[in-house]
Formats: sequence, C-alpha cells, structure tokens
Amino acid sequence: MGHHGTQEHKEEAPVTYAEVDSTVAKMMEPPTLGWYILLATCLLCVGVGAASWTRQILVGIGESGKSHPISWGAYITNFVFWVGIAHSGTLISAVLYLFRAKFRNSIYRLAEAMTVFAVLTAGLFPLIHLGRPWFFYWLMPYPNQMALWPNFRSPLLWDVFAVSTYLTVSATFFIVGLIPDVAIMRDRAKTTFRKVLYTVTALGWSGSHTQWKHYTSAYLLFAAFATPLVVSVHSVVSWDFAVSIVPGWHATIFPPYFVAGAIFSGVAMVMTLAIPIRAVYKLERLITLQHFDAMSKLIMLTSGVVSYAYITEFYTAWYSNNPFERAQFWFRPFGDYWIAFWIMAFCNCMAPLALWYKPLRTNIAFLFVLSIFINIGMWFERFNIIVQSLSHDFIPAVWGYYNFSWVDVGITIGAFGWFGMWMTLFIKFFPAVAIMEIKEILPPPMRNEHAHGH
Amino acid sequence: MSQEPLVSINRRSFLKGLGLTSAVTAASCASDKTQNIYSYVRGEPEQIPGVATWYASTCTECTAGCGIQVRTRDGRAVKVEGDPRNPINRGGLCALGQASLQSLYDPDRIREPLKRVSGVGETARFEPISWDEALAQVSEALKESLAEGKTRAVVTGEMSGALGDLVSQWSKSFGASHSMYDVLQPTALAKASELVFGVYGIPEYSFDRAEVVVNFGADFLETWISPVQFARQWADSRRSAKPVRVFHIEPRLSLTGASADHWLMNKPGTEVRVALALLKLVLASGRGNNLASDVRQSLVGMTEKVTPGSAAAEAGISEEKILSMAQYLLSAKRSLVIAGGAAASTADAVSLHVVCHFLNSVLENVGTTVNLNRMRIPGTSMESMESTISAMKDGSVAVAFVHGANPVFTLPSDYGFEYALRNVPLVVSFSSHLDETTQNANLVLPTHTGLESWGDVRMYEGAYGLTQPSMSPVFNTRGLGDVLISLAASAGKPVSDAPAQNFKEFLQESWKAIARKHGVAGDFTKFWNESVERGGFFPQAEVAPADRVRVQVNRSVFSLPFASVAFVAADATGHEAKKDEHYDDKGPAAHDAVPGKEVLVFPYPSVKSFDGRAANRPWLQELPDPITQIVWDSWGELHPSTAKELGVAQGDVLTVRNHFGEVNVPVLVSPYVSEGMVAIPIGQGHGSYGRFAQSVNTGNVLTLIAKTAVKDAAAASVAPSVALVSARAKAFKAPGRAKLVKTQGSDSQHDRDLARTRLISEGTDGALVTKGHNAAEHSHDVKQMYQQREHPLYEWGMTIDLAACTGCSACVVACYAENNIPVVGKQRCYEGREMSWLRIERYYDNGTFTNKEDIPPPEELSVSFVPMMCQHCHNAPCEPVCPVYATYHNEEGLNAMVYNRCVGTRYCSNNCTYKVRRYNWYDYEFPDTLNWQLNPDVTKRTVGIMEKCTFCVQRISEARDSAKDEGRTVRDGEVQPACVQSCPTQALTFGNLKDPHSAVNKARDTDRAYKVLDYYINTQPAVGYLERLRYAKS
Amino acid sequence: MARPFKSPITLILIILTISLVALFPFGSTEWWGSPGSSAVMAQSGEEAYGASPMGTYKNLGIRDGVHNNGQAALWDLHIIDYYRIFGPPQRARGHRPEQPIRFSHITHVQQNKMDCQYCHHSVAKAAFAAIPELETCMGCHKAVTSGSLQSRGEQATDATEKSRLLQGAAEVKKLEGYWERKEPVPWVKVHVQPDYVHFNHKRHVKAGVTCQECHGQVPNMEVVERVSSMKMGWCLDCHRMKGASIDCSTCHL
Repeated sequence: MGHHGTQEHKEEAPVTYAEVDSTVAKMMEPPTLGWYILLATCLLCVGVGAASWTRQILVGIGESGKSHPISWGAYITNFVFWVGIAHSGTLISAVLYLFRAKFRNSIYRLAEAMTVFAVLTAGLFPLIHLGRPWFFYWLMPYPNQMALWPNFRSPLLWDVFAVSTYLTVSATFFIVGLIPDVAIMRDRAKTTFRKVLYTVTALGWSGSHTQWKHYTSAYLLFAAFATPLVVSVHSVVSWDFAVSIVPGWHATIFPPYFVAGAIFSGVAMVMTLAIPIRAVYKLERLITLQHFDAMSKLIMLTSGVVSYAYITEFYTAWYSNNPFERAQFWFRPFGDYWIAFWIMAFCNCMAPLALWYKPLRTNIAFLFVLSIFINIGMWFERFNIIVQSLSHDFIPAVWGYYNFSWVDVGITIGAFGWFGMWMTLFIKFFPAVAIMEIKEILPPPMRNEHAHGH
Repeated sequence: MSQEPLVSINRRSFLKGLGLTSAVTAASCASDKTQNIYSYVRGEPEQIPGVATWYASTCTECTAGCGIQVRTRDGRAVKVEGDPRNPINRGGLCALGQASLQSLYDPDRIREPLKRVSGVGETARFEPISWDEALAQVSEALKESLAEGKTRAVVTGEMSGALGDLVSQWSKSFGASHSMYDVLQPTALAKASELVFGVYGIPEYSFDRAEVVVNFGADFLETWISPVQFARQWADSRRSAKPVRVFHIEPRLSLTGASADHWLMNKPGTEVRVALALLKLVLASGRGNNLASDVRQSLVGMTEKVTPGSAAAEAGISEEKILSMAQYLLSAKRSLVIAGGAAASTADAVSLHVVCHFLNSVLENVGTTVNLNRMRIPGTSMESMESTISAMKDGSVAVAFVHGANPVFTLPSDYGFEYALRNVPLVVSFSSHLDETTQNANLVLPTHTGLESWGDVRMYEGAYGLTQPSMSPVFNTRGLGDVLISLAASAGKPVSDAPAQNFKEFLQESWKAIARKHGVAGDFTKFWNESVERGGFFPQAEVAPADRVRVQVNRSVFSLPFASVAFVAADATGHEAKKDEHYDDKGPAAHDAVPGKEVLVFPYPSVKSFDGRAANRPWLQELPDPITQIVWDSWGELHPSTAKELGVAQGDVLTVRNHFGEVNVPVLVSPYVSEGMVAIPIGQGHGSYGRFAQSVNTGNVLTLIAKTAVKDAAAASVAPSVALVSARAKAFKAPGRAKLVKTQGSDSQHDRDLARTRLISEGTDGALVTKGHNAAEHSHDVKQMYQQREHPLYEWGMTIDLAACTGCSACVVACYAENNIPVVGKQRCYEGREMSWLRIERYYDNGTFTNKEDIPPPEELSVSFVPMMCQHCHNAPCEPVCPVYATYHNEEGLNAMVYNRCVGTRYCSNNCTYKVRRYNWYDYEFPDTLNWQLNPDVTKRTVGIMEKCTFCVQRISEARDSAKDEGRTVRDGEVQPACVQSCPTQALTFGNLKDPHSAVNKARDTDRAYKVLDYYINTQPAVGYLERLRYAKS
Repeated sequence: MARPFKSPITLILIILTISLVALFPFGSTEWWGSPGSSAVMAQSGEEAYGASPMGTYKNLGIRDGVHNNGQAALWDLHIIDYYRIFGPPQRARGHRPEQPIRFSHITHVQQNKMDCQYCHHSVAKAAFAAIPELETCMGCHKAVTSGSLQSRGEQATDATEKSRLLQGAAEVKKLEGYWERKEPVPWVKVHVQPDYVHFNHKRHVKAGVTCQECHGQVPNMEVVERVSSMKMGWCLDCHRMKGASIDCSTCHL
C-alpha cells in the first residue's frame, strides 16, 4: 500500500524503517547546549510575561494600553491569533487523516503539538484580559450561593465552552496519537527518567494485533470528533465580534473568514517551526520538499480566501451605504493606523502571491521568511479588526487612539515564550515526527531488495 | 426642610455621626475588617441614621445670590442643589455652586490659625497657633496702632448684607479703611448707569422680555452678573413661540457666543465703534425723541464721525451685519443692548457701556428689559483700593485685614499689592486657603466657607438671601463676623448699638430692620424661622411695574473717548508701576531684549475657574472646558494665521511676556479667535493655593494686564474697574511641548445627525417657520423582530431640549457630586480614562444640514452641545454581551448595572453605541477630606468594574420607598436625577414614560423630538432629544 | 464497563461524591459545635452571669425562626462558614465579637421585657436600625445605676443572681463612664454587609418580616451573634417565597 508513497524518492534509496527510528531517536538524544539556550530564552520571555501580568494585577488593569473607547486591544488580538494558530494543527492531523492525505504523516505530529500548545497559550488571554480575574469562575455555570447563572446569550460565554472543548479534544487526540511511538521510545530509553516517563505515557502498549485494532478505530473516532472543531471553534471566536454592533465587527462573513485565516496562519506557523527543526535534526529525508510544496499550495489557497474576505468587507461597507461602516473602512487604510493595515495587506495578500512561481514553493529559505511575514500579517489582521473598529465607531466625539503599553508588549512576549517553552520541551522528550505513520507509507523491509526496484 | 437651623449639633456630636456613615462610604474591602458603630451621645431630632436632612441657604460663590438646598447625611453636607423657590435661580445652579462642596472639604484647607515664622520676602513658613493667642495678638496690634496714630485697612471681596454692614461699622469704630475688590465686578457698567441714568448700579436685565438682544461680549450664560438667572430667562424665551434673537459680537468664541444666533468675530477693542454705528442708524430712523433734545443732539454729534462702513472696517465684520442688526433692533417691540465680559473690559469700558445705555434708552428698553428699580450696587471700588494700597506702600498702615479676596493673584501686578503688603507690620488673612495673598500674611485666621456660616446676600432691594450653616465646621475655623465682634468687644468698641454676642445675633438684628422696612408685622422669630426655612425673604420677587426712569444724563459723558481702544504696548515705559521695582522681581530691564511678535493679551473668565477662586476643586479642573474641551490646564488660543506668524503649532509652549509678568501656556490653534491676540482663561496658574490648583503651572495671566489710568473729567480719576483686555505682550515659542488634554475626539459630527439643528426664518406672512430634518427620512417605523419589553408600572425616561442647553456643564459637576465619580487627574484623562458619566459633546458645524467633515469658517459657524449619558436603550446592545448579567434591563426600563457582579470583560463598553460606559482602570483615591462628600447611597466602585449613568437609581428607589410608605405610586417630578435638578435652563426633564401626562412625555410631544442614532440602529433609547433652534443666517 | 470499580480512581471518586452529598443535610444543624445556643454559656466568664433561658424562650435555640436556618443554599455548608474556609469571618454565621460593654439582651429583653424598637428606634423609619444614643441608655440607668446594682448584688442571696448583679454593676459602670466623658460607645458591628448591598430595614419591617427571621432569637443571646452568613442566595430565597422584587437594583445601587 505504501508503494506510490515512495515514488518521490525515485532517484535516491528509499528510507528504511531502521533509518526512521534512528533519525527520530536522534532528535531525542540528551539535550545540547543550543537546546538549553533556546529553553532559557523561552523561560526568560515567560518571566517577562509573568512580571507584566503581576504588575497589571497589583497596579490595575489600566497598566495595559486599553482605554476609553478602545476597551479591547493587544490581549484579545493575541487570543484570536493563538486560537487561529491552533487550527491548522487539527486540520492537518484530523481532517487530512480522514482524507487519507499521506503527505500529512511526517508533519502532523509537529502540527498537533503546535495545536495543543497554542490553545494552551490562547486560553490564558481571556483571563489576563479580565478586569477582575479573581472572579473568572463566575463565567462557569456552577451551583452557587448567589443562585445566579451566567448569561448564555453572551458570545464570551460561548468562547469559554469552545476553547475548553477544543483543548480537551485536541489534547486527547494528541496523546492517543503518541502512544505507539512513545512505546518505541520506551523500548530504546536508557535513562530511568525517560523509562518512567515513557512507560507511563505508553499506557502498556505492546503493539499486539488487538491493540492495533482498537487503536486504529479509536484514532479514527477522535479524528472524526476533532474535525468539526476546526470549523466550529474559530467560528465561535469570530462571533465575539460578529454578534456585536460595532462597525467593522458586525459582519456575517466573519466565521468562514476567520476559519480560513486561522488555517492560513496555522500552516505558516507549522512552516516556521518545521523548517528550523528539519535543518537542525537533519529530517530532510522525512520532511521532504514535497511536503513544503503541499503546504505552500495550502497557503496559496487560504491566502486567496482571506484576501477575498478583505475585499468583500470593503465592498459590503460601500454597498450597504451605512455611513458608519463606510467611515470605518475608509479609516482602516487611510486613518491613524494605516501602517497596521498596509502591513496586513502586504503580508497576507501580496507576499503569498509569489508562491505561484513553482520554484519558490520548494525554496526553504524563502518559505521561512514568508511564513514569518504571514504570522506578522495575521497578528495585524486581528489588531486591525479589534482596535481600528473600536477607535472609530458611532460617536465622533469619543473617537480615540490606542496607546500600546509596556505591559501589553511584555505579555505578548510572554505568550510567545510560553508557547516556545512547551515546543522546546516537546521536541526533546517526545517524537516530533510520527514514526508509525511514516512507516505506513514506506516499503516494508523484504529479504529481496530488488523486488521493489522499478 | 429644617425649621430649626442646625445649631443643636455641636462639633463633638457631629463627629459621632461620622461613624455611622463611615461604615457605608468606606472602600468596599472595609467590610472585611472589624467595623464599629458609634451612636450619638445625645439624640438629634433631625438625625435619623440613613435619612437625609436638607437645609435651605444661599450660595456665596459669586455675588448672584442663588438659593441652594444642602443635602446632609448624618451631619455631613453631601450635595448642593439649586432651590426652586428662589426667584433668582429658580432651581438651577451653576458648576461653581455645585462644586462649593469641594471648597468645604478641600484637603488643602487651612485647618487652624497659623502664625508666620519666616521673615518678609522669604518663602512663607507658618506654625499653628491657638485662636486665643492669635486674637490676643491682633487686638494688641490694633491697640498699638491706635496709640501710634497709624491707620488700619480692611480689604475684602465683594460683600453685601449684614457682614458688609458689620465690617464697615467695625472699620468706622476702629478708624480703618474698608475697600472691596472683585476682579469680575462690572463696576464700569455701574459707573455708566450713574452717568446716563443718574443711578450708580447694575440694572436688572430681562432677556425673556426682549425680542432682539445685541450683546458686546457679555458672557451672561457663564459668569456675568447672574448667569443662572439670565440663562433661565434666555432659555424660556428660546422655547417660546417667539424666541429671542441674539447677536453676539466678541473677539473670541465664548460659551455664550456659541449659543447666539449670529456670532460676529470682531477685532478686540472695536465694540464701541459698532455700538456707535448702531446708535447712529437708530437715531437716523427718527428714534430717541424720548430723550431731552440737547441729549439727542449731542448723541447725533457723537455719532457723526462713524458710519456703518467705517465701523465695519474697524471691527472687521461685514457692514450688512451692522445694518441688519440695526434693522432688527428697530423692528423689535422690545430689545436689549448689553456689553460685558472680557471683550467689554477695556480701559474705555465706560464709553462702551454708556453707548449701550443710550441705545437702550433710545430704543425705549428702559423699564421693560432694563429695570432700574432692581439695581445691584457693587461694592468694589478701584479708587478706595488705590488709596488703601498707596497708604500701605508708604507704611502708614499698621494692621491690614484681608478677607474673601486674593488681590495678589487678581490685581494687575503694577498695583504692587504684594509690595504694599510687605510694608504692613501685621497682615491678617481670613482666607481658608493658603493663596498668594495669604502667603504674605503674618497671621492666618481661617474662616468658615459659605456652607458653614451664617450670613445674608442682598441682591437688590426686595431680594434678600439668607445663608445658614448646613453642618458644623469641618476644621477649627471661625467666621469673620464672630472674630470682628470679639475683637471689638475686647477693644471696648461696640460695633452696633444693640450689642451682639456673635454674628448670628447681629444678623438677626439687621433682619429685624428688613422686617420693619417691608412692614412684616408680628413675631420676629416666626419671620426669622420662615426666612431660614425658605432660604431668604423675597417680598417683591415678581418684576415690579416698570416706571419709566427719566434719563438723567450727566452731560460730561459726551467728552468720553469713543474711539477704538488703544492698548498698552508690550514695551511701554514710564509706567507707574516702574516707580517701585519690588512688584516684579524680574524687573522690566529683562524685557527689552525679548524676541517674538507682539500680541494682545485677552484674559477671559470661564465656568471652570471663574476668577481663580475655584482652581483647587478637582471637579472643576477635570470638567472639560465647554468650548475647548480641555481639562486640567490653561492654554493660549491663537488664530491659525497668528500661530503661523509666531511659528508655533498646537501643543507647543508659548511664552507671553511683558513688563508686568510672564506666562507659559500651551498653544491651542482655533479659527474662532481674532487675529493678533492670545486668549488665555483667567484663574489658572496659581503659585500657591492647593495641590490641584498648583498642578497647572502655566503662570497667572492676570499678571500680564496693566492697571489703566484714564484721566478724565467724567470718568473717575481712576478707571472704575480693572481692564482685563489692556496690555500687549511679546509672544515667542518656548522650548518643549505641552500635553494639552482634550477629551473630545472629533469636533465635527461628520454628518451623523447626532445634534440636529432646526432653522427659524420669517415666513412670507412674517410668522416664524422652522425648517428641520426631513421628517419622512427620519421617521422611525421599523417592524420589530423581537417581542417588545413590558414595563408594568414605571418606564423611566428623559427628554433633553437642545434648544435650551447652553453647554454650561453644571449637570456634569452635579453628576460627579451625586454619584461618587472619581477624579482621575490629567495623565489619566490624557490616556482617555476620565470617569464622567455625563459628557457634553460640542460640535462645530455650519447649521445647515450638509455638515462638512472639516469645521466651518467663523461666519458660518453654528455650535451644538449634546449632553450625552447612558441612553437606557430598550434594545440595549450592552446587555446581551455581558457574560455574567452584570448589566441587564429591569422592569422599570432602566439599563441597570450591578457593580459587584462585573468581572470586567468590557464587552459592554465596546458594544455601547453611545460609548457612555466608563471603566475603573485603577482604584481611585478620594483624598481626605474630600471623601467626606461621598454619597452614602451610592456604592463606591473599585478597580476592574464598569460603571455608567444609572438615572440616579438611588433617588428612584428613595422615591419608590416613600411612595410605598404612603401606599401610592411615584408622582411625576418626584424623582429628579442630579443632572435634571441642576440644569439652570431646565433643558432636561425626567419622568415616567408610561404616564401619558408626565412632564417628560409632554416635553417630547413636538416635531422637534428625535433620538440619537435610533434611526440607524434601533436601540430605542429612553432618552429623547429635541432639535436645537437657531435663526437662519440673514 | 462491566466492572466499574476496576480502577481505584473511579472508586475514590464515587466515595468522595457520596460523602460530599452526605454533608449537605448537616449544613444547618448544630452538630458541628457551632457557637449556637448550646455554646452561649461555654464562653469563659459568662458562666458568671449564670443566665438561664427563661419564659417562652426556654425551648428556643438562637437560630430558631431564622429563615431557612440561615442557609443560603443546600450547598451553603455551615461547617465551611464556621471554620472560616471562605470569606471574611465577620460575615460568617457564628460571628460573635466581644463588645466594649457586655450588653445582655437576656437581661433587657427577657427579664425586663423591653421592646426591640425601644432602643433600635429607627428600624421602622429608616434603612438603618439605630444603635440607641447614650441618652436612651441613661434614661433607665439614671435609676438603675451601677451603685444600686452593686448594693443589690451584695444583698442578693442566690449566688448566681449575686454574681450576675455584680457583673451588671461593673458593666453599667463602664456605661456611666462613657456618659461622663460624653463619648460614644464603640460597639462592634455584628451584621456587617458589604458596601454594595443597600439593605433597608424599614421596608422589611413594614412588610411584616420579623426581626427573628434574620437576626434569630436575639433575646436569647447573652452575646449577640450572627445566625446567618446573610448570603445573597438566602435573601433571594425569601424574596422569591414572599414574591418580593428580585431585581438586582433593589439592593445593589
């Protein structure tokens, strides 16, 4: 069944099972100095974030740049950004699995880890953003002495459910997917720590036939379970805005627009992560140019959708003849924040067009730079939606300007550090490339090598 | 209302009362600590814990004499409101009066007598001293001075009534000179009345009886004479079938100018020429035969040299305007011509007022709109100030008392008052603030504020306001009256034949006289208690039948100068002031090398800081200036072209300097200021007064103005009033930038139809027709998708008549006072975190319905004010988005806000169409003793909580409570939110929309009614607006 | 599925749930050594009073007649309150601070049959139920002086009565001291409410709510004690039962 999967390696010798095991195992050899430095940097960033948040709680929420009338700013921007990042992970691991897209196998583990950690990061922001975070539990429906329920009409409440569901499901899917590979690691592990770690996480995997039978069906089930979340979660997040009446938020196009944007940014992030890891751990034979070509195509598609959404927004504003909508969408490209808008337009709409030129789709250096651009662009997309709309809505007398504060910056840095920390730990302790799945698409080892020459 | 004044509460038992409230007003975390309840030692009949007691009194902030009612809770004054029964203000009260509480509880108030320990000239250092010591010292000094044959001087602010009598009697018996000084008193006007009508004083004007008003810069809606009274008159007329048409001629757009139909920007000092031109035209039409023939002759002679054309050219306004003004004046049955404010306060102020008086008499307004039977007699006299000061300078004064005035700050520095004080061995200041004058005192005997003391105000014969203490003194202070009486007693010089033990007795004596005068028969105690209960005695509150006062012209009047005013040049030399160098430490020598262009200094009073006495009140500092929308600052307004000449831009710092002083103000570029001048508000830039006043360190603009000596036979040897607009100065860019904090985003409403204006014009038949927005276009009949809300009993709503709103911002301050709204300071305002629940949006547009994006040129200008608070929408966008039900709609139609449930997602604020929700970004402090003012009925909000206008729900629940007690529903008008109550023009009406007969429904039953943005987004606000009215430009 | 207790975790969870549910009924009982009626005398020094609940109060515990036993909700566990697990102790059931003067409601209300409103006179007139002015106390204690109590105490034959009178004399002496110094008594507040709750006594009294429904059998208290943590659920429960308004802005202004 894996034959056609090897055709891309026509010229070179096919990757063998042993090679896969060893390459992946190599990734998890005792950490190098470089790894420690990386981890330290991440921890430092987390420290900065923690310090900023502490300050905000002690001194007052005013330490963040928000003000009247711009009551949402960097935090919600980050929240949407990270939820977005999460999505492509699920897309690649679950949806492509259901579609039996084999090229997924070598990158999905990375994507999935990214999903879990991104949601972990996103989940922090609603909390950070609260004026009285010590009362966050009032958003949960639980029996309380006040005899009060939360307001189920509020999109913010839907968020609480959406994000928590997403975290549980994607985490479970991720852990289940890990089991067979962790078992391999368990059998190769030398240090006691790792032995214990893997023995626990492998949940007594022996690779027996019955186990495989249960496993595959379970995996399929979870994949099917996770798939709708790709659409639902970010739609719910988009409702935070679409449900309101703020000019620039109140648009029916938001759910599809947000989902597309999410996948767009997610794939970009996968690249941003995969490229350096591939280089450092010599995974060229596993994560091949073919994969990057495929991801590039995905980017071209989603970039197209996103650009189309932008244009639609402007068209609707003009066509609606609603003075407030019109003013808002005139304000975006030519108003106080024109730079933010044009950064977004360049990074998300123009730059990806280069991928129509085939050689660039497999030009790793270019792809890396592009992916970074897209990440930035997508961050600014959310910034534009949130901050620009709020600073220029119905009543001219209260138009305002968002003044970024150091706490905003600190917490944003902290978020990246937090995400990076988990990623760094992950690649060192768990197989960042799915061993089993790759083996699935390799020619099984035979006594007679020639039987498989073409 | 209390029958018996609050004498039974002594300071001690009053303090006992505090315990009860402290539990309520403490910060929310206080409920986690052990709390004590202190009971009264002795029962106070009026003091039921948690029940408010009201005291009627009279406001002493300015000399208008508005009646007030002070709300006290457990012995503390917590709110000041206008008294509806008072004939002057009829219920309204200005921002200054509302904020008098913050002078009472000023954390920087002098809390006990002080003695200066530093020498003359050094920076003042004071030490506490007991009252007995202090008084002993004073009476000692008095005795000595009498022995040495030296003189004594008493300098006070404007004072009328018993205290005035007491002071003058005291001065008489101690051989002291008594001079009053108040920089904003229109004494020039009084002088002019003397010259033209033969009576010294300020006539009573009635704007509601005039059809046309021609106004030369009088800010009668802000600070001029009796602003609350005038505002109400103006508004009543504007709401009537035939609204008064107002022409306003002034060099800088003022709040009053903003409400005028025709605002004409003239060159400063040219008002008199325009007035003359008008007089000429009026006479030319054959009017003025009611005057003595020779007078008419000389008037014709006076106006010979001026023509409408020449006047127009001089003033820089179009000739047509002058002609049409004259036309309207002639065609009007009753008209009114007035001059005042900064524009009219020049060296030749008298001339301008004289011409205006003549116009009024020629147009036969005397007795109709100008009432000479109701004269206010200002006590301020520059002559006596002059003589007193010179006496001080040559060291013949041994003891000087200063009370209720801050001459070092408000007198032109070339009077050298500070220098004069230094030559007096014992200067006693009775100020309760450590102001510039008090800094020069040897002894400080702090007085009560108006809310702690007895007293009375005599507006005019027939209107006597009574001031009673609404609470026992906050600090260890004593009233001036009591101090003088005790001094007199100790010196054995009785101040009155009926020896009064304290000032209250003295007051009662003088009220016995009033009773006799107006033939009040029977028991005085009854009369007294009634007057106390009513806050005064108003035998002829109704306008007396006008007897045509014969115009008794002092013929010398015609020799006054009637040319455009000449201003003192920046490098004027040989000025009297140069005789003593002491007045100005910089010395004039420093001046001549100064670079920069010469500009005219235009200081103007404002509702924010009046003449500077209100500078230490955070509410007023944080109140956006209605025109510039700037908070916590002083500024220099420049015409764009002038700014270009000086090479400065908005936010630069401009140094303005001349012989007399120097200020450094942030530049504010505005097209609505005449060229070649810099307009700076009076009252900011205190060097000493209190933390809030001193936070604005721009320097005092009044140091720039020149004492002007008009040597003239007719006018007194001294100009009767200080000329605010008198001096030029060199202006140049100073290093650095200033953080000018403007709370308003855009000045234009971008054709969004928020503030609607309706144009009035004469129809073919001469009847007035109004042209409004296309009713069809804005008629709002949407098929509602959702089930509409049910309101079983009440549906609270408000109607705001923009035709009556002057933008005076009294409501804003009232809201601060009622709802414990924190003051956040300049930096936080700069970050956009001001907490005001109610803002007055000010839009510049051209009054037509094609609002441009950019603001219009002066001649097209039409200003709109929109009071904007929570609209309590029935389809409130804020409600569904709150995840915890902290905000929701209750069955009385209120958009309620539960502070303690709020977790602070701020989604409601984002989704609020009107952006009226305010968020506590920090925990805000109420520095002791300002926290004494907090309203115990309203929760103090802590960090992370959203807040907004509640329609004063605490008042609603109070009314509901008493209604329940009497087994009825709440009556119409029983509930009045703070803003509604405070409004001087009654532009706001509140009530139950369910009741078809309620005032709020009646008010909005007109084709002017509309709701802001409802047409676009169907929020169904409970607040309705009425379109603004403005005569079409003709 | 077949054998649910296979994993110990499941078992532990089930046991925990059961025990937690089992706790609910105890929420309002005296089992947990609450300083309720049983504990009134337990406090040191108070035996000296030797007060014995008398008259109709004999069979009443201090929390009898309190709405829903002072419980906000089924899960408002008294044990949690009593041991101050959540929230400030001042707001918890069983809060009974030491007062500057050991004023005994037993003596005044039970023995001397005084009406609540004699001292708390504004309870039907205003939001606050006034603490009596010193004047009011002295109204009686001009006659019942510390001296008179002292002498009566010395003459008393019954030991408990004797010590009680002597104690009383000592307390009245304190009162007289305050009165001489014209100084208010710093009573410690027992029923502390957070500032964002605006409770109105008048409305409740006029609606026929008895003092006991919220404050318990105060006449039975030697030391005034909080019989309910007065949580919002508790108020709402009564408001719902009696059809009173449950609009938030009734209390939260």
